[in-house]
Amino acid sequence: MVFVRRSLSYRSKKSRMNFLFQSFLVSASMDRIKYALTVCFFVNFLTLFVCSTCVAINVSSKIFPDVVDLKIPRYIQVYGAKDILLTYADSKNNISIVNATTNKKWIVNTKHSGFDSGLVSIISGDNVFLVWRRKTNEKSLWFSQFNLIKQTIGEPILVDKTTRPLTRIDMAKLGGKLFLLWYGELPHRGRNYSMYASYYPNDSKTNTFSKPVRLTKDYKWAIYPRLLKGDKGVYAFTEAIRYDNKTHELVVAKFENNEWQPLRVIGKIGVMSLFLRAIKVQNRICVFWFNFYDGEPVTEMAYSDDGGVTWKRHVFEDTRGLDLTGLHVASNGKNRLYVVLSGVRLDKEGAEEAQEGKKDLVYFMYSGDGGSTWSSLRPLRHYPFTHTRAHIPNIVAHDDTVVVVWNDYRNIRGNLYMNYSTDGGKTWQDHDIPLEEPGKYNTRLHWDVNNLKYKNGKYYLLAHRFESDLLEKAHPLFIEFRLP
Amino acid sequence: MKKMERSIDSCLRFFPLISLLMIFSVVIGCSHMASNRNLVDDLGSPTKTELLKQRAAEFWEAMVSGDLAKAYELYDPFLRARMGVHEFIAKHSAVKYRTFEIKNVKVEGNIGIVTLEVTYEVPKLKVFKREMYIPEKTEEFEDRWLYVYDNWYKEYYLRFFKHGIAFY
Repeated sequence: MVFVRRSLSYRSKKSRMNFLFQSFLVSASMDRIKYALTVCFFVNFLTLFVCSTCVAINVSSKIFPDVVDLKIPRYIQVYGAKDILLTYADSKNNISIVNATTNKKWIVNTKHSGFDSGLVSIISGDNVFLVWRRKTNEKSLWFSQFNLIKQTIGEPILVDKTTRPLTRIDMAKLGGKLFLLWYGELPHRGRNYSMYASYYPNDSKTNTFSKPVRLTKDYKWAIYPRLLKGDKGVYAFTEAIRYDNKTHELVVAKFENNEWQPLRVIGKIGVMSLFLRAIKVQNRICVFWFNFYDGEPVTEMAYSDDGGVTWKRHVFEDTRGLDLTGLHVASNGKNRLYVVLSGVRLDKEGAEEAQEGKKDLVYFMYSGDGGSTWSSLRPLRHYPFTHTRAHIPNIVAHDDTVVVVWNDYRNIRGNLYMNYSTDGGKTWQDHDIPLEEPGKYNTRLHWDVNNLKYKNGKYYLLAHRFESDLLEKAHPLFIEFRLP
Repeated sequence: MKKMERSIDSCLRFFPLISLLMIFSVVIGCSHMASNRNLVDDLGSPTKTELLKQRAAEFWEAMVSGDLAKAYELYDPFLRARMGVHEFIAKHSAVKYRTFEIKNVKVEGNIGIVTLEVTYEVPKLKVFKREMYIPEKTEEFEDRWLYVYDNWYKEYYLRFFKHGIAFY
């Protein structure tokens, strides 16, 4: 009673905190001391909690025990409201699908001889489709599908062994058909590399792929395949060199009216290297590529508004001299188009010594009109020094939000950093946000596959984390985060 | 009893101050535990620079005193993951360091450049039946240090090949 009475008199004069403290002056009983200590610890914990949460975004991660084969592409797919599927090949050459939510795992290519690589995986409806190249004493292409409702894996189907398929493969699904595009090394007129296409099912009666069609029959060379699903057809892009000259051309074939139409030339290009991306923005088909003209690197794009018949080209002049190590494109499904890339700025002379010590950095461009006009190229990383690399950006966009995650070596060990814009790429956060404890681990993204996905307010990322600084064995790392 | 109550009462008069001190002690204590780790985000404060100077001095003192095992511990973790201490000592015992002087220390994020003057010699030894000998000489050069997670480590860098082990 005494405590209450006295405390009321204090409450009228002091703040609540002071009231708690001063109330102890009224009595020296041990109960009051215990109360004081409880309050004190509560305040301490509250202080620490506030300190720790105000600087962090909501990130959770899960590492899986398999050792991944670092050379084979891997994929993350979102199914339904909460199922996240990871597809990768492990060190025993098992191609696995793992549900990151339930930890259930399925092996796709059981009991095989030879070595499987060149993995491609897409999700469509209730199925995950997988294609890979198998090398035994011959080279062959294989297909399987995983039904997400029945949770069963179909028996692998031989796609082709006649074209000597190599490990650059792309896949797209349109309507009831699944399309494949790959390059094979079956010689034609003494030249080895051609682009082949096939689809599944061949007809409604058989469970087989159509006979491969050599799309680049007038060309002696084509090695980079890219498929894009349009509204009424599928587009197959590649770079190619004709038999009678040395000029590289960017070409496109369209699957329409149940057959592949003749190749169209988008334009003469430089020597393409690694990156060929395609994206549909509303009714516009866009293709991006990285090439060299007389040793000078530059990134370009072209778009078609008439289903691939005519094309307009755009050279990203800001990227002249930028030797790319990563390139991805994304769209919000409307008119916003984003390009994120990483590269090393080469001196014009290209002298090896002049390039020494130069590191690749992450850059960004956006278009608000579906690719007709573009912003200038701007660096995305917020870090004052350029003596550590930042590369292999992954990107995802929705509404006016665009999120980019990349590999950043500012902490010497490679870490994942993120930045985002909520106004269509015009402004970004002042500070890059680490997705893991800075400097503790060696974490990497796959150089070629965009493994950043978005669904229902959450972002999902597949990376791999090395066991040690030896950088030999790495495990799949699944990261989930929300924006602050 | 009253005397005891009075003394406890007098203690409790300082309770607000004691409580505040406890809050700060917990916060500062926790931050101190992780202080070196927090320096990974430090772009180049005097604390981080001073730590580099200390580590560089520690390293070169070990080299001058011939304590290669100690020097090995100060090399970057990417080297230590690949090369054991015995192999390191076997490969690095030919050069004898006599004196060192740190001239300058520069920190840019997690990269540190230490400019120093080192006196060293290579006593007579036979390598593949050929005699090698470098008389005592003094050279000024730059050492590159890496701040990896919790501290500065000297980068293992092969000047001849212009290549280190750490990939950054």
